[in-house]
Amino acid sequence: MIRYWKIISITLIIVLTIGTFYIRSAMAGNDYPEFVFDKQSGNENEVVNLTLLGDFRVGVQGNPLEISSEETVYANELSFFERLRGIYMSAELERLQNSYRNFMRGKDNISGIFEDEKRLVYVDTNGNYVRDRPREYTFDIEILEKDSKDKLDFTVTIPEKNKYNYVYMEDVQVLDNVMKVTTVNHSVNGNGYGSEEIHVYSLDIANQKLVNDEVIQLSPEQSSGQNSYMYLVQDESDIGLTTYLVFKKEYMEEVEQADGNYYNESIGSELITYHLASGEQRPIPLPEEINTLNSSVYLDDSIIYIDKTTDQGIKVSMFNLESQEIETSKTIKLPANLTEPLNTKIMDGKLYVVGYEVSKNTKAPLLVIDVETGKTLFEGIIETKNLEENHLEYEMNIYDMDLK
Amino acid sequence: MRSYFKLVNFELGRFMKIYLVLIGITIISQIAGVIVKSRGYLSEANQAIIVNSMPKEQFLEQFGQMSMGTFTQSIWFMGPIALCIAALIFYCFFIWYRDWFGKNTFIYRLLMLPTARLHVFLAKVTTIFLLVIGLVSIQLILLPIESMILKFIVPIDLRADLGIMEIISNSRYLFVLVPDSFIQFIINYGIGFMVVFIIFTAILFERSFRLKGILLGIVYSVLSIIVFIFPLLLEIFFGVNYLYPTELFVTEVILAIIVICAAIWTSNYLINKKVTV
Amino acid sequence: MIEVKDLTKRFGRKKVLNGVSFTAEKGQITCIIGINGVGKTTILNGIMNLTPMNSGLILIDGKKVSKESYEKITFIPDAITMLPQMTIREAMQFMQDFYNSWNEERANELLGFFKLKQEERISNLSKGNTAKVNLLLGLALDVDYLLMDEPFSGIDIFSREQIADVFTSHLVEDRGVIITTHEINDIEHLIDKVVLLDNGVVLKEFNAEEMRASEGKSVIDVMREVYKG
Repeated sequence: MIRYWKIISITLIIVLTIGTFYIRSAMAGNDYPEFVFDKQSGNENEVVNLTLLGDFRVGVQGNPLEISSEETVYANELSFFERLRGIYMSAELERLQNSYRNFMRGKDNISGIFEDEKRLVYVDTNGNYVRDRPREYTFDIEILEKDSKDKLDFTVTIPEKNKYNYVYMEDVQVLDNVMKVTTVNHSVNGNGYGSEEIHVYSLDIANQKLVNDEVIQLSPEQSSGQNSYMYLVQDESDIGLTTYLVFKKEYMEEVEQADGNYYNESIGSELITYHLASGEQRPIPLPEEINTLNSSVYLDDSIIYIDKTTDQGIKVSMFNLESQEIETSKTIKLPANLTEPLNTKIMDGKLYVVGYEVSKNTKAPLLVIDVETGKTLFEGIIETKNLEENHLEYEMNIYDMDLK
Repeated sequence: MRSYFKLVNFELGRFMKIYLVLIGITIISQIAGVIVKSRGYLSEANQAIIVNSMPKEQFLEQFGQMSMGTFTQSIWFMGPIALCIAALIFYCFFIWYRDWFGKNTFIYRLLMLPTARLHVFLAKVTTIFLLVIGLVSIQLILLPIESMILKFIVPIDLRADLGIMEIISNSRYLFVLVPDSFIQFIINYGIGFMVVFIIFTAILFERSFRLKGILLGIVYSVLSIIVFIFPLLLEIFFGVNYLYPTELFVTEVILAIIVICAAIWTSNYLINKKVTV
Repeated sequence: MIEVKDLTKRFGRKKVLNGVSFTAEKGQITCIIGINGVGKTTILNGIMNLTPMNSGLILIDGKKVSKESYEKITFIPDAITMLPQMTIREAMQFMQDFYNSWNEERANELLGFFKLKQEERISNLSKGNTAKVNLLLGLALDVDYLLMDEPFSGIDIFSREQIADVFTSHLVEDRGVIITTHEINDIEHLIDKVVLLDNGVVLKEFNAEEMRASEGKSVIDVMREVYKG
């Protein structure tokens, strides 16, 4: 035996150290703190479904985390296979992948998905690239009939095929036999400047043909020299049928800053609606006092919510697209001690407000406010539990929230 | 089987002197490095705070706290690791060619052993495997020792204490060598050893067919790599991503096993039928 | 019996062996004679499966070479096949570790016979002593067949005599030996059978004793006839 000391000792060292290392790191779990929603007043049921996305940091090392009312999950706590599936997979996509596993293969762009009771639709744009230049852009369409499990797939070429060097999927809607596909089309003109257009393409499913190509129009007051960009307000994870598409357009101007550099600054914005059934486009007539500049806009079927943080508090407005009327517009006063910048988001008719940062000296507030009545439904702070000594100098940043 | 273990032990013995030297260099450089770096930081702090009467908070803001994270970026730490990696990559080739070259052509003896010649091949693979993982283990033993030395030299208000896992995930390179999940560890080294199998088979091609064998070896290696990364190639060049991540993982594991089996089968054939002294 | 049938071997375009056939019996010393570069070593390498043949068949007691064969047949190349940094003791230990047919008793006997010291490093040995160790490592195996490649080349006269003595001793008796050489003088009296090789073919295969008895020719006489005639 003693003659084999080389193989025996090396194997022993390896098994002992590597074994101890991985067993200990599995057993110890992790000593990162837990964050909880600490209620001060209101109803804690209001935050049961709330999830905060953030980043926990000591020194330079950041670690993404998800905070819910039940638990705090750090990215590095996930098992190898959980990580493999993706940390930030949308719940909707996950549901579809579980229910329609084969149909959903390779379909991971949620913007291209449409679902109603009868069918599941996926539209992908394909550049058919030849030497880095797209030869022609096509829509690759797949439709699954849920009852019969029949699958239909066809390809439609996008008109003006040489004009665009990139076409992004934004949204798909299906009304009876007409499919409305919204895209952002990039083109580069002769001067090398890029420009963007939003198109709504109408496709006849029965004949597998493109029947209409509409551009969401710029409003006439746009002057030259201004940059603008436009985006779809709809949440991309909304994959069901809606009545309207809502676009927000922002105008920008190059402004010289103190340091001599030029930056784009938003100087105005407008909302445009597209009625899917009729194809009618129109700007939303908002009164002067509801300025959508630097505000967040949300769409909930035919209600548009607008929130904007001001000196007085958070100004929230509701606009009904059916009646074309403002239903509510009020400024919600926040507790006087909240001077820090805040994350705000309107979900299910409620305004969620949460601080950006939690650290040794900063406590992040958490508020849930009913938009219609202005009543505070929940008020609390994000509290730290099980903070280990080596994490005292931590910083936790919250950058998004969601409802489960 | 016994002769396989004897061969592994024998092959380990042939590299043991250099191996111990490599370990020695690593220990000396890293221990000396942590002392030098900690002392250096401390004297910088003394200079700033005591001599230039800079407030401690300002010093910390400007220079940051001393931690193992700072030390692991330094040449004292990474240098010996790079040296060990280079030495082992070199030895992947030398472990074969040393038997052919020189006055005493040991390959005669190895090929005339009354044991399956594949054992000679597998013993060499195992030797490289043990040498590599052995060095990783030594590093894992060294880290807490270095951490302790740092704590001993730098006072608590000037340093940030990191756990071993935090030290490792702070350094991009260290994290590849010691990932935080055991499965990832097996994946990293599994891919590494698949490559060793491929290199060894390519060397046997060269040893069997000489000049022509170099070409064969290269073609074989490229083919093996293509087979292994085939699903990824499909995705990159044809935009086909038909598989879910878990399925892709399983596919890659199967492909890796196929590539390794093909390497073993090919090597077994070459070393029995084609290799020449 | 070792049977070599119709061996061919090419290195590139050059045909080194072009249909070589001969047999070597157990209990006999068979000598393959030919000038340098005629393919003698290649034949031995071929018998040991150390280099592939392009065609032909090699049988040892009727069986093809396999890993088990290496307990029955051994090869002593013209250079020692042990690591130079090993001592003689370590080399012997290595052989004992891997070969069931290793005969430690005989190894020690040979050590005494050659007057070698166990603790000497192979790299420090003289040429003659290195050759002796090489011989020792082969002869101490209880194998039926021994192949030796030029055991006398480049060795001093005293070592040659010592080695030649081995052939007449019980250390070689009863075994089948194939030996290659390009000069016959030292061993003419030892060999039983001669295979004359040139240009990759066997020119003549004959029994030395019978030749002397029937035609009154020595091996050298036959060689002169074959190569000059």
